[in-house]
Amino acid sequence: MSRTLVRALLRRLGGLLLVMFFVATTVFAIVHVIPGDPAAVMLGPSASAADVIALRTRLGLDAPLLEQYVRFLWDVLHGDLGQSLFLNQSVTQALASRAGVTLQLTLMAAALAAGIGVPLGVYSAVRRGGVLDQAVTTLAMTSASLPSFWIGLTLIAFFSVRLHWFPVAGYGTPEVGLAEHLRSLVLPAIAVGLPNMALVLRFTRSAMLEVLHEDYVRTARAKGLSPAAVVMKHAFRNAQTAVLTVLGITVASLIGGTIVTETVFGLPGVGNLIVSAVLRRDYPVIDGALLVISAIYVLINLTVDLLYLALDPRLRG
Amino acid sequence: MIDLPRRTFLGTTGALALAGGRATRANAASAGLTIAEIFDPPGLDPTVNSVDLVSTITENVLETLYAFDAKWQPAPLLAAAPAQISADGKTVTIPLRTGVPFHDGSVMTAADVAASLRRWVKLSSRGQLVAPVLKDIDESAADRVVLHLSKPFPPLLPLLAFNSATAIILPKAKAEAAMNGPLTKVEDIIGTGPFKLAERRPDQYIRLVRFDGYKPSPDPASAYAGARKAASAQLDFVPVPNANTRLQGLLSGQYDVADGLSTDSYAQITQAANLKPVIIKPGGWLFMVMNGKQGLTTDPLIRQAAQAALDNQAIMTAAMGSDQFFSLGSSLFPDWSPYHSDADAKLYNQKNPALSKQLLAKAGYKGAPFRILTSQQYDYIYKAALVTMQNLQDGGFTVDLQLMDWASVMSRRFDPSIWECFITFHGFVPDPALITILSPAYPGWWDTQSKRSALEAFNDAADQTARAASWDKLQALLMQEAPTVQLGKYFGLLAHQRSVTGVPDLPLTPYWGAART
Repeated sequence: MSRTLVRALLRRLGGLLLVMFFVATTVFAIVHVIPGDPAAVMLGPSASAADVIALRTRLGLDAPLLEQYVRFLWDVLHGDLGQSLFLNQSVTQALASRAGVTLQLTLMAAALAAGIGVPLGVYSAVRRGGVLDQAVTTLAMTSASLPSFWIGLTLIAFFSVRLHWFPVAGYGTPEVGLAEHLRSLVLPAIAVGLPNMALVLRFTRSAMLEVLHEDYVRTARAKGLSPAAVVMKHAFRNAQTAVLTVLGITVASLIGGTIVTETVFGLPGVGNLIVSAVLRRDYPVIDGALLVISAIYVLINLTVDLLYLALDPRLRG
Repeated sequence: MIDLPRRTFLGTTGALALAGGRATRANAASAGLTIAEIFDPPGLDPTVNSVDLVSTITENVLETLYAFDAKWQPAPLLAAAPAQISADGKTVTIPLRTGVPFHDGSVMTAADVAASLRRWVKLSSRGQLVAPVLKDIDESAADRVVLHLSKPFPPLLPLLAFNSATAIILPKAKAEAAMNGPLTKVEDIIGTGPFKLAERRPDQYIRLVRFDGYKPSPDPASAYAGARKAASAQLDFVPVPNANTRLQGLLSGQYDVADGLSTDSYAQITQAANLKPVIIKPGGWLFMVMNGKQGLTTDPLIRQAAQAALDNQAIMTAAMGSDQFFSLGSSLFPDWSPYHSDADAKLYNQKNPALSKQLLAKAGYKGAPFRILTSQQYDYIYKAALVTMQNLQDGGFTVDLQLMDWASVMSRRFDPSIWECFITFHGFVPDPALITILSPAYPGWWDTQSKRSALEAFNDAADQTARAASWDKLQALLMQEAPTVQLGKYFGLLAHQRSVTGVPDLPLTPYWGAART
């Protein structure tokens, strides 16, 4: 590994720590400043103020905010994200038990976005102006403009209610096995992957169009290389950095996109956990989940930056 | 380049669809019911948490000494007979059924009952109403408990029988271990019901399985009371927060029952050959609660002006969509109830903005904002709030509609300095003693001298005739002082597969008798 690469890596890791501190502080402040009280949620609508106050004391929520913040940071530094107020488990356990669903959903959606978006984008650029290019561009525009929850509800109405191909919602009980779990994720993956597929497609097409007009591509054609070799070896290879950028953005945005989709499809993933935690004001879960997600977000960006260096020798200095 | 991904995609999804299709049919053939609920409950302790869904799920597991029968009268469940009340009304003897097993294999004793009642009196918002008059619980005899009161307290039995903020009976050790807070672990939810709690996976499902050792009441089944029988081997309560997804899941056959459906979907349900709608009637009340502790609405004239401005028909139509799902009328209780009262009915549904303006002028109102706390989380509450706002503006108020999530409404209502009114729901209760808004501690803080006297008279009334007469006076005060305005009575909507039987049209729907045929 070159010294430049090591320096870049260390710089990024330092930045990551700063970002994490900023996120932890901001999230903690926002979550604790907005109105709402886990004790009131826990006790229900007929609870008296005295009962709510008593429960707040028992949960340690009556301590000064600064004291709670310092305790939170101290625990985070020791790898402890705290204990959920509602789930009877630690935040780490809660996140770990949901991460699998979100990871599978994200990977399926990313595979859909990249697996269709990149080839179609390349094809569309190569056949610029043709009927298929226009059809693909229209498809991309339409897909990008549809909200994922609407796509989800439409897919449910057709594939689940009419055709009975897929379950409407849920992830199935543990005993149903992996195939049934994956089947539960097909429609959500399409719902969240389709708009991202459009994004990948358009970026790929645009990047390819740019390089297809370069002199070295013309030279490659003049040398008598096959069209496939020109496109894949000379054009696409040079468009990779742009494609990689959009794939990084896509994967990162998919993590956020799963929040709405998991709610619509009733999937027990991290997104659903966060929504429930916000509605209940389960402060430790909100703090912990957002901290972990932002860490993942930053790590994805770091990975993309490192891949730039690996793919493009010019960036290694 | 194009064909390969398409083939791969279709091939993969098709294989998954076929594989799963078999799994779905296998699930449909099982002996369990899958019930889609509106959210994952925030707890599983119905004594501490009065959220309806907590009761709906746990009433299949945890039982009470008494339960309401089809005539909405307390009837024995774990008690062996009606309570024996001494001539002075201060000693209440509750005979207990014998040989009733808990889910952990132990047998219910008077000590279990006494410990559970002590916990209820300490932690339940309804049990706390009993606390001031309860002197002692005597558990020395094996087959009964004796409650010694400082004065007669007729609301005791309805409070013991009601299935929200519930007087559940737990094994003594469990009750005493949770004397300061809610039961939180699955293994601590030990009752005597026809189902036992098997598993809770947050945001996935809560699974109840049939309790083979269940010993039912010898009395015939009647609403929540009498003999219970677990008709299904298993009940899975699945949180599906999106109402449309619940409906689609029901239409597709994935769910056997879907609760809390939008009344807008009623036509679609009736047109579906496989579905049967159930209208839960009575469902509950929509209340406009006004702040009696601080600010504008401490002036009765301001509250009366707000009451005069309201068009209850328009509010309830906006909230519920069709009059099939609500009823109007000043009486909180329906015609068949002994507590039906038309006292000061003329003050209900006045839709009189001119009178509202007169009352505001008389109160010296200068246009200070009338702050309504509301939330879109419950669609019908938000719609009711919008029409209420319009009515109040027409009646001369300057309205500040403050939109927030429901958790914020629930916590902000405790601060009397930041609101004039909030709109909320209250599930149907068969006895006035169970209405939470009557408590002076309930946000709104209705605690006038006239109300205190009327409530005391009601609580002291010896028999039902006297209680009904006392309630008539309280209902009149409710109309005159307008601390809380009843906007209307709503009905709930759930639906199930036609192949499912035994789903009653009761609030807090009990599912022990439900099964797929």
